[in-house]
Order: sequence, then structure tokens, then C-alpha cells
Amino acid sequence: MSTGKHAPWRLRAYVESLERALQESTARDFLLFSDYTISAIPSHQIAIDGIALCADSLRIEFHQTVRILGAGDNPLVVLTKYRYHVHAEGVGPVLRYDPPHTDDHRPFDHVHTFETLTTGRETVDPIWRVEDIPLLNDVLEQAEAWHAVNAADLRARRLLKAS
Amino acid sequence: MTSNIKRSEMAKLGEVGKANALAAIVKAATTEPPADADATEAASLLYQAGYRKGSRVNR
Repeated sequence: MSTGKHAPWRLRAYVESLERALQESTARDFLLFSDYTISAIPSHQIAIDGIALCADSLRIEFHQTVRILGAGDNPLVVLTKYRYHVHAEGVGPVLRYDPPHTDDHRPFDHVHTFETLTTGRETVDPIWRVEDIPLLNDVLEQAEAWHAVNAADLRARRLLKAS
Repeated sequence: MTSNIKRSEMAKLGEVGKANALAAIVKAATTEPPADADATEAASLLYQAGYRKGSRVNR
């Protein structure tokens, strides 16, 4: 069983950590709006699907599935599936974290990164260490760091497109 | 049984309301689905048909 950030969490603490990540990003004026839905999945799983709309039209779509490990109203849960997609609207993809695909195509955790503002070239890197699989706060921070470096280019590109 | 909730809905709830909403989702995710009513009925009809057939044979 995983330790660290991917160790089992109590469900309420898990949702609170998600909220904290969103609120902290909002407080830093990066995240402008977010919503998500928490849904029951038969066979002891819960899905969290959401979007985060950020500065300069960066958009993050996220999905997490957690498996319920224990009993009671506030059971232990552990992340079993995830997907995070960061996209600059009107420009192109920035990065995407994917779990292993079920077919033979990339049967390992991996991240797609894109040279969004230049060639659009895509690179795929495997993620071998469990602790490198991100949670939402990691992706928000990564998107925020990308934005800090590229915001001016992003705006210039949009201005050019609009003119 | 509540099987999903949006962030915007949860934001309107107090701590107890949030805990209850999450508990309802856990319950929905961990409750075994009811037996397929159609399959149950079909099995029942087959059983009855067999019983009647058997009854006729036995007569």
C-alpha cells in the first residue's frame, strides 16, 4: 500500500484537501472558477470530476476515482485512477497526466507535455515513482508555474489572433 | 439515495450537511444493487413453467 500523499485518506479529509488546493490557488489569483461533482460508483468507488478555469484562459479538467477501503460514513479511500488535462483555450494543450492505459499502449503512469507556444511538439514521459503521481494541488502549482513563465507570450498570441 | 453532489451545492451546506452528503454517497457506492427484477421474474416464470410441466408429467 502506498505511503505519503497517496496513502489512504479519510473521505472527508480527502475532499477537504481538494477544497484547500482550490482555495489556495484562488487566493493566489490564479484560479478564477472551479466546480466538481462527487459521484458514487457501484462497487465501492467514488468519482470526482471537475474543471478549474484559471488566469489567461488556462483550463484544467480533472478526474479522480477513489476506492473505498473501509466501512462507515467516513471511510478510508485511496486514489486508483486520475486524469489531469491542462489546456490553454484557443492555443493548445499544455500537459496531461494519464494513468496506465488498459491496453498495451502505455501501460504505465505517464505525462504528456506540449511545446504549446512554439512547435506544439508532444513529449511523453513515464512516471515510475508513486509519489510523482500528482494530486490536484500539484497540477495547479505546475500550471501556475507554466503560466508565470508564459503569460506574456500567451496574451501576445491571443492579441495577434484577435487583430 | 443521493449518489452525487456538486461543489456548488456542498458550499451551501454546513459541516454536518457536508458530512451527511458524503455519507450518502458512500452508502450509494457500497450498497449492493437490488437483484435484477426482470431476471428474478423470468426465473420465477421458468420455475413455475417447469413445475407445471413436471406436474403434468407426473399426472
